[in-house]
Amino acid sequence: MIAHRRFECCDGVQAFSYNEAISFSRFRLAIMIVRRLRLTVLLSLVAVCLLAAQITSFRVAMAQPTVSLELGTPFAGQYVVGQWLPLRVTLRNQGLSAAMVTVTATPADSTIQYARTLRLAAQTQQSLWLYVFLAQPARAVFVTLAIDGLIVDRQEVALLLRPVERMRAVVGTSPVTSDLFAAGSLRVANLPDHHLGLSNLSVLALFELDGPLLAAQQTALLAWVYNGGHLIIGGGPAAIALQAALPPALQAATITGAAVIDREPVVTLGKSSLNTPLLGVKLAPVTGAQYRGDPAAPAWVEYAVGRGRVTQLAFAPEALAAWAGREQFWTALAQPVLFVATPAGASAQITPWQLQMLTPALDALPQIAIPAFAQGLTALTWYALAMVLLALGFWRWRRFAPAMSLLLVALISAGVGLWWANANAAPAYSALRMTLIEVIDSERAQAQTISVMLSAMPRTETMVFTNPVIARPFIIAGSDGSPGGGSESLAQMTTQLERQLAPWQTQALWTTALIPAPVVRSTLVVDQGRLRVDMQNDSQYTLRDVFVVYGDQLLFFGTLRPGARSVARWPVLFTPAAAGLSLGQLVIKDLQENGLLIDGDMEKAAQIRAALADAAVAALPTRFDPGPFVLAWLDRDPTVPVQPSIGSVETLLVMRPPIRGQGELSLPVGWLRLDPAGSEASPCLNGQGVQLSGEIAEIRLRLPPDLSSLRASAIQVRLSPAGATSNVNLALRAYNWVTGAWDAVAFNPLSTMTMTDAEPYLRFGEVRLRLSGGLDRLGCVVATGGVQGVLP
Amino acid sequence: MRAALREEWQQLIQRRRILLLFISTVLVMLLTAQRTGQLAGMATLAALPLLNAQIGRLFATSLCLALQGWVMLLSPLLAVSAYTVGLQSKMNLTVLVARLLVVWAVMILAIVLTLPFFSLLPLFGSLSLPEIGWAFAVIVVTVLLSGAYGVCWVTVVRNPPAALFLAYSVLMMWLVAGVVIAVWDTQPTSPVVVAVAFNPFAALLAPLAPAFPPDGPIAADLQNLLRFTHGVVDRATPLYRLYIAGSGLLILVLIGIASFAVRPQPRRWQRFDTLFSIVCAIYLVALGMGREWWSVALP
Repeated sequence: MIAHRRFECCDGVQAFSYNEAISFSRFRLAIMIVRRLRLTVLLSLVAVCLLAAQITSFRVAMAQPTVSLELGTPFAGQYVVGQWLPLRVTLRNQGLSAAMVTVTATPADSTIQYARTLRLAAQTQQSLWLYVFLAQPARAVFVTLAIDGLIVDRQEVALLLRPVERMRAVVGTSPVTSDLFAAGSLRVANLPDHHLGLSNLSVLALFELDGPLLAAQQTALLAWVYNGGHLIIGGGPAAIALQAALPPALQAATITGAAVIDREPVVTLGKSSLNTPLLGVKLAPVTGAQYRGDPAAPAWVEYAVGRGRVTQLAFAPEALAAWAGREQFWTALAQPVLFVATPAGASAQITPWQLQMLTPALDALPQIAIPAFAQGLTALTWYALAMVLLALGFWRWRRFAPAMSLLLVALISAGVGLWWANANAAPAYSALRMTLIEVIDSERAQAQTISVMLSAMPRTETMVFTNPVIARPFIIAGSDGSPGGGSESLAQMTTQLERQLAPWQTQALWTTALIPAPVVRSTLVVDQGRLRVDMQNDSQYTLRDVFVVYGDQLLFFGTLRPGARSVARWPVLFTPAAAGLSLGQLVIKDLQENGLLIDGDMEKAAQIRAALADAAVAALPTRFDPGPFVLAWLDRDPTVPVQPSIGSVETLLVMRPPIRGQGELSLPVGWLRLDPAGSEASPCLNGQGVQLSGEIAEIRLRLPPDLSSLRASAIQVRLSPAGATSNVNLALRAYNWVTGAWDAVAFNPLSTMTMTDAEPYLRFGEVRLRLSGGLDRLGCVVATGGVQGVLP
Repeated sequence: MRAALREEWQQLIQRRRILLLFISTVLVMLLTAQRTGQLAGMATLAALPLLNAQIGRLFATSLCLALQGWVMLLSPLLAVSAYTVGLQSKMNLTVLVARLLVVWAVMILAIVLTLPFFSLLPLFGSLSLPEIGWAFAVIVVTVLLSGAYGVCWVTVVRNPPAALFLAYSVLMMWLVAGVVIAVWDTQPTSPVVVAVAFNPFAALLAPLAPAFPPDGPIAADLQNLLRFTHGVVDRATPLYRLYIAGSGLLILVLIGIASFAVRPQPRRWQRFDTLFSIVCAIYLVALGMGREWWSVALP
């Protein structure tokens, strides 16, 4: 029976006898077994492969870099809404080299992620700063650490909201026992390396350094002061070391020796008698700086840097340690220089105000030219006609008229149409790029750019920069600033950013970078009794529509090509500008009146340029800062390597030219300007002049800091009241700095008043006037003046 | 089958009314393009952001809607034409399938003739390939559905004028019901979304609507259109997926009804039924497996 038993093999039914079967070689039997068991073998192989893969991946996992994350905040988590929180991140790698380590910080209740990516070598430690913009109050910031895209750690940094005026910090030991320096006592290592990291602070006192300041920290300090920070530098034995650690632009005085310091200014601020002698260094103010106390041994020197101030003390803070008035003194001295109230919150930096100035121009996106679709419609008409004729031609011989011929004509026409349409396609994307470049010293400039983008289709916009930038979404009206509601990661200190654009959602991005300052020299020089403006463009950019402005006075220089030099003397007489116009509007008015703003879309160009000029000057109604400024539009944006081909680009260069020279000087009316902060009156609603009320009011007129040492021989003052002056019995007195008395001055409200022998009335570039009479009827008063004298 | 297909095609394509169909299709698209051009010309007076893109969106929407409406109007007419010229004596399942395929082929040919009009859309730079691709997919599905719908009616009723009347009446009620549901319902529940999705015009607008401009006269026109097609349903909802998936099922149902009506009594299981059952099963399995794709549209 066995011999006739039929065997079945794997390839179907294959019959063979037992005798035949035993004649198979062992090899054939093995083959047969394998073939019969091929599925099992296959599965076993797959299982072995999977096991091997798992073991390999386990080994790879074991060989992963072991990175630990350590976080720190220099101000103990205290922050101001609308500013940047600095986070100090320390990464330690105790494993293999990590190719892509990403640290990401996200404020609570926000979808914006601020990220930095770096390569971390094996067995190394690296520290970096991460800056988180806090657009709204947040209880914490979440920081995640990812290696090659895999999140390995997540930490939370608790935050504490503080008003900006209380955000004072001290490097070294606090001179007071109270929480005046509430933001804490810092070490040098805790000073951020970018000025945005200091933006929370209103005052920073630099009393003691426990290490050298890095170049990035020095630049950060300079940019922070330029934007409105108040830096107090200690004196005494540490003065030389402190001054040496700072960039030259922050040095308010030179140290010429040791001296017994004049205590009077200290006592005045401390409101308490100081009996012990105050020893310190002898300070010689630099040009534009103002001393306090005896000029031979001033207690401190104040120096305006941009919109901020450096206060350089002659004495060591410890010298007042036992003094009863020290709390009062330090409280009075360590006051914010700048206080800006914006809808986002109060700030001690000018940036939010500048951004507010730029906001009206954000909807001035350039128009895209309508493509010539009329030609396309004509072509379609011809196509339709051809099809009709073709069809009619086939009418009689339709039996032989293959449908394929119609199909062929249609496809060829469609192909040609597609080619033509693609060749002449209009962009579905429009962008506006506004860059404000402020020169902060001879080598560096800070660039702020707002890029507004609108796309009709989903789009990934890649932005490339010449220098590392820090960016944040800029929220504009009608947009939430986020890319379609999803989370968004913004890399920091990078030269390339990507942004996802959702259709028809206008999105704006604010970026800032420190760039090399364009080599443009501008100086106001005292020459033959008048001011002369020297402009020299040694940069690679063409400067268009160059203006030198002071207050409402504009001096137009036209276009300066690379290498060009231009000189102009300041006019003797200026017509007062129309009331209510901002400087930006005055600039645009001047350009339009001279036929220099004749671009295609003049209205939008004017809107953008006016906004940029206003942001550059950033005139605050409560602050004296009339300039002088140099405004120049660059032909290219230095912050990008390749100029964008779509949209419009406006780049404004802003500089503060110094006033140099000595000798006789005649400054026309308009140079002495109202100091709203020093006057006992509130600023007018239009930001120009002060609103006088009551029976007596004091106003102060001031020269720019560089002319503060001017000794006046004659002063002209012109009061321009908006209200009635008839039947108003006005009297004017001027403060005599020598006698301390208020001297009566003959005065006619309708004409310019001149004071001869005026030296006692001008000190530190300031004239104090007291008006009395029925001031309520005057309304808004604009006071300006001119000075003749000698600049020592 | 091949012979029947060839015969049906020759019968239909030789008729003058087919030439008229092609000519009228091209002329309708030309008129639509010219009218849209006039509207765009008026819109250029307003200073709108990315006006070119807005005009392009208006152009695409108008052309797609016109083509969609035109094929919906013509497909039942073509089905009736095919019936009147077809081989009545030999009416069987093979002829039915051949006739259906011929109707579809003629309508697809008519769509191809309109391609030059759509080829101008890149000029405005505001349409992506997926957007216009899905819009065309909806139009093609509509052609398939309306062709099957017309053939089904004419096969079941067997009286061309009556079948045409009934087909257009039901079609009208279908469209009106879709608009009424969209306008009156205040909550985008699943039944409402399904009802809206089965309005062919809503399904057509679905791939184009998410990128409709938000402001301006063109946007206002498009928003008014959406009010009637979408109603409370979010314009970003991919209704076209639901429409395409459901239309496939509906086409199979219509073919099933027509095949049932066409076969002589006593009705027996035929080879067609086996193939049809397999197709139905495959389609149902595909629907089930791709549930995530089309159910995204449901709330």
